[in-house]
Amino acid sequence: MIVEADRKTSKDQDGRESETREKQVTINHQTLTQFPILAALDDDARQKVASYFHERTFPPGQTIALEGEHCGKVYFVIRGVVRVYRLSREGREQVLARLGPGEAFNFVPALDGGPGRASVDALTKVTLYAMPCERFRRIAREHQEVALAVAEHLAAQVRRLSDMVESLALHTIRARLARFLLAQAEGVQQPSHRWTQAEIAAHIGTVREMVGRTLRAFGAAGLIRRQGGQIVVVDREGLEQETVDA
Amino acid sequence: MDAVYISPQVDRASCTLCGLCVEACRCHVVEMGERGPVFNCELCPSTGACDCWYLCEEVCPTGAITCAFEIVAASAI
Repeated sequence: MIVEADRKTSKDQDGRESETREKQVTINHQTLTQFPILAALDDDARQKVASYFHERTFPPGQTIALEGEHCGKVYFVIRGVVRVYRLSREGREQVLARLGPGEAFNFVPALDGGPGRASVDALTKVTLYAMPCERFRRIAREHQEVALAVAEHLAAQVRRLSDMVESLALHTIRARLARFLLAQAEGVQQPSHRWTQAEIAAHIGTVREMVGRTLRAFGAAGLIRRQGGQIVVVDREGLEQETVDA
Repeated sequence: MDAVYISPQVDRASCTLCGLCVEACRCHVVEMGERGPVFNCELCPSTGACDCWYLCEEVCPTGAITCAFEIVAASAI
C-alpha cells in the first residue's frame, strides 16, 4: 500500500533531468531476511524495523550519496546495482565496491556521525530501503544481534579494503588487471556486467589507456582473446602467473 | 559459437570529431560521420576477433567511446 509518493527532479552534469522517487510504503518485513544485518532479528522485531524504512528509487546514473557530505540515512539495496567510489581532485575514480540486492551501505557515517566516506551512484534503476541514521543507531543499541552483524559487516569491509590497499600499493597494473580478469571470468565478482576500459581502470586504480595496452599485451601473449562482445580467458594458468609480480 | 558484434557507443556531446578512432582501427571499419564516428564492426574482416583490442576507445582523447564487453572463461563458452 502506497501512503505517500514524493517525486524529486534533479539535473546531472550534462543537464539531463532525472527523477528520484521516495515512497512511504508498507514494507513486508519478510523481505528484510535477505539482509544479513537484519536476518537475526525475530519476527516481531523485524516487523517493527520494517515500519521505519521508506522506499526510494533512483534512475541509472543518479547520485545517491556524495563523499564528504552529510548523509543522514543507511540504505539497503532491494533491486538494481550501485557503485561505491572515491574521486581524486583530478577527477580520477577508484571504485570501492559494486553492491546488489541483499547488500547495504553507509554504515560508517551512520555509526560515527561523520561525513560520507565515498560517493554512491545508481548503475541501473535502483530501489533502496532507507532509514535515518539515528533510528538505525537506536535499533543497534536495542538489538545486540544487529550490532554484532554490523560489526561483522565492517570487519569484512576492513579485510576487503586491506586487500585492495595491498593490491594498489604493491602490485603492478599488469598483476592487478590479471587478477581482475580472473575474478570476473570465475564469477567471483557478482553481479556479472559488461565492462568498459574506463570502468576497469576505475576498479584497479589506473587509467583506461593502461588497461587497453595491457589487454593487448595479454592478447599478444595468448592469455586472452577477443570474441565479439566478449573477452575470453583462454590461458588461466598463464594469467595466474601474471598475478604474481616479477 | 558465432561472434556477437557489439558496436562501440559514442557520446556525441563529448566527441570532438578528431578522427583518431578512424585512424586507430586496424580493420578500417570506422568512418567519420557529420556528428561523430560510425562503426561498421559487422564488416570487420577478422569477425570481431581482431587484434585492435578496443583501440578506438583507448585513443579517444575525451573518453567519448566505450566498447562494453563481458569477461568469460573459455570453459563457459
